[in-house]
Amino acid sequence: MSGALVAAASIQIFLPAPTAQLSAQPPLRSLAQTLETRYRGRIGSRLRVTVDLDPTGRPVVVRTEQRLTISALGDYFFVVPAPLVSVAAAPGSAAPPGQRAQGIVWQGFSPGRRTLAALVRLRTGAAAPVLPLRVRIGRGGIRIANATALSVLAYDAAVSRAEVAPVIKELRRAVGRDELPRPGSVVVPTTPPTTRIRAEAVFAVRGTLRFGQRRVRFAGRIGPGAKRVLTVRTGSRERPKVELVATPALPRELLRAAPGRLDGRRLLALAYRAYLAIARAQQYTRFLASPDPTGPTSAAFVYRTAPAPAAVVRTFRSGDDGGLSTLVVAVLVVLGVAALSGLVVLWAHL
Amino acid sequence: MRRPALFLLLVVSLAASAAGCGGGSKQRGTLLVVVNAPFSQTPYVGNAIAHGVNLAANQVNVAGGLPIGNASYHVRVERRDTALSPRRALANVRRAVAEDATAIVDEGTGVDASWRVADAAGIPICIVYQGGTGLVDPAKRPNVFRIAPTDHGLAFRLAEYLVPKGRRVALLHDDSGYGAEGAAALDRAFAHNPESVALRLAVPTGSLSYGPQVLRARRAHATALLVWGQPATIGGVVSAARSSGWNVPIYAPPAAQDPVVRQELAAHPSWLDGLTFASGRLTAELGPQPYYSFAARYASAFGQDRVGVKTSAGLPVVQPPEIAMYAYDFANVLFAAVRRARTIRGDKVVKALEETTVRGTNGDERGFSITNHEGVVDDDVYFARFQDMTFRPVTDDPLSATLPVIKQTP
Repeated sequence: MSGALVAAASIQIFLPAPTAQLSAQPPLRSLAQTLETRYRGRIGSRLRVTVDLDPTGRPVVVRTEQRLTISALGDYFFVVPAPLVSVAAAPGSAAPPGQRAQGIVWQGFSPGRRTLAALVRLRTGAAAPVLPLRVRIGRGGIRIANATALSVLAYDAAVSRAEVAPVIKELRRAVGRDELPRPGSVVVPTTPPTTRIRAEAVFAVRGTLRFGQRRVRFAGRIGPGAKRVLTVRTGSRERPKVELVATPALPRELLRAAPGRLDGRRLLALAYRAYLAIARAQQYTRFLASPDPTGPTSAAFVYRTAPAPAAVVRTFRSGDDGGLSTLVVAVLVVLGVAALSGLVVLWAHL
Repeated sequence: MRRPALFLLLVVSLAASAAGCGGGSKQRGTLLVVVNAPFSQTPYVGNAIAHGVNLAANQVNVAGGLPIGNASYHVRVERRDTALSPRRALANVRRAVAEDATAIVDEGTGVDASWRVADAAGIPICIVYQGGTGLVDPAKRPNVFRIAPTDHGLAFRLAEYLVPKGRRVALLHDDSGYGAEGAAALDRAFAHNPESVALRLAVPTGSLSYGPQVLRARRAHATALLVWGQPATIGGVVSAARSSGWNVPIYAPPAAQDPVVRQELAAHPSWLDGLTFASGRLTAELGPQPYYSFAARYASAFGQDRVGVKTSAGLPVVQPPEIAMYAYDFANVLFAAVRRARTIRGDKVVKALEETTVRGTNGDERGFSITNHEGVVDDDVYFARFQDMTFRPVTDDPLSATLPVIKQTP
């Protein structure tokens, strides 16, 4: 009887699901309106986001290639919201995308399998703040910081180690196999207090710095359990050209720490951090929304130094284009004023 | 003396502004939609387009007109006959511009010339019959839209359907504009499979007999005929092949469902059996109900389009209002775009069309985008085969196999 009472009083805490939406963006938002979203089966989304950087590392152009794969027979209609400048079909697309001011329209029939691929130029002002990494290129090196961190609410419960151990085991099993873990939960006797916890994605980064002909390769992981900032320094005094690829990763380092020394409360915090890291990384695989919110997704972010958009060079133009140049206008104005003054003087003497 | 005059002026001004406000009553206006189609030359096509637009307009007018701001607009539909002449089509568009038309619903003849005139006046043109690839180009012709299967989509779907069957196809087209556009699309569609083409042959439009051309195709060891041309050409080729005892499979574009083809073969109904054509699907995954609902409203307003032939059971055959469906859908997209633009004419309406989607007659979404002014996507092209003077979707194509048979008898 008393056991039943305890069981009735206990509550189940659900840890964040791998597909949990922890912040408003990503996916990138827009004011896209649609009648409905319609498809059959699952839709997989593969993204390649390319970020052109100015010599200091500031994003100047953001593009993405999205490949959607429909895996069932049937009609489809959906709009992928995006703050876009332009969109075109990518090689291999079975249909052309439709561009709206606030999104990409896909419509048609899938004969069983359909690949829809779009090359999208995004509005830099809207897309750049949502990018997962901040890159700073200095003389002789680069500094890559993780920009995915945010603070979320979590339960701070004094649970037994035995209660959390299966959750940690499942996390380690899934991460070891490079797959998403099943959602986890623990049972606690009473509603525990809440605390704020840092949610941050892990990114695997590899790239190259180019100093003229010399190349310096680098690789590393940034995020919880791994480095917070990846810094590459060389003896050179010039700013390198950069090309790096960052992919969302599972928090392997976080779970590698021996849990034997941690009590139940700390183990629960560890489970929270791991699930949040996974959810946050998954969010970035949907940098551009997929019509199937639970479909398989992947993404790679390519950052590369590119020439900044050519500045508008204002040069003096001769009048042969049919218009009057500023200089000609100025001369005419001066002559006009002089002539007017002369007329006034003449009139005064009449 | 001055003060009373000022007072009078003030009273008159107040009265005038009060009259302008209208005491809350809506202002009335007229929104003109011009149907530019060959009513005298191919009346079936012209009337179908006009009926579709009229049906949508009537729905708006019965509901009190199209509300834009503080005004309500009655929709007026005007018919202009092109007689299949680009020159007359252009003259009609000039007249539509002079009359401040909101939009032109066009069969397609003469659009190569008329789009500029309409564009300068900010008038959108929507083609609802011809599928020529060059007719619609959002970059070069920003005011031209289309709701009809494109020749590109039809040709590629036909190639996609025929090539895996291992057929050696004789590609026949007539020398009409429709036939020439179709031939160009077929050339592109079969470009990667030249081994599937037995022969390419142009035939004269309106010939009394296509026997010699069919014989050439037979001698080229063709195992299928694909005829792209006017309905009379398709009927003539079918007649020539069957009368010579050649039971070759024959394929065609949407023109094959024109009543003329069946009327031409009415004396030999079995000759029509097996003729397969590509067209835009009339129903979507939602099922046939949205289409039947439209067909019932169409029949109630204009009566059913009788083909003029009967089934073997003696039932008269009626034509599904496919062309009218496209015209009706465009009119609805236009009215939604006008509401969105909050004005009844000009570039704002053209831009709003690119951002508007409505539920189409077949249950699918109909709309356009900045980069795509085609309202029928290539994926929507299906295949149907004639049997006993009516047609039904084929079962050996993934899309067609999912579609229901549309009722074609009263």
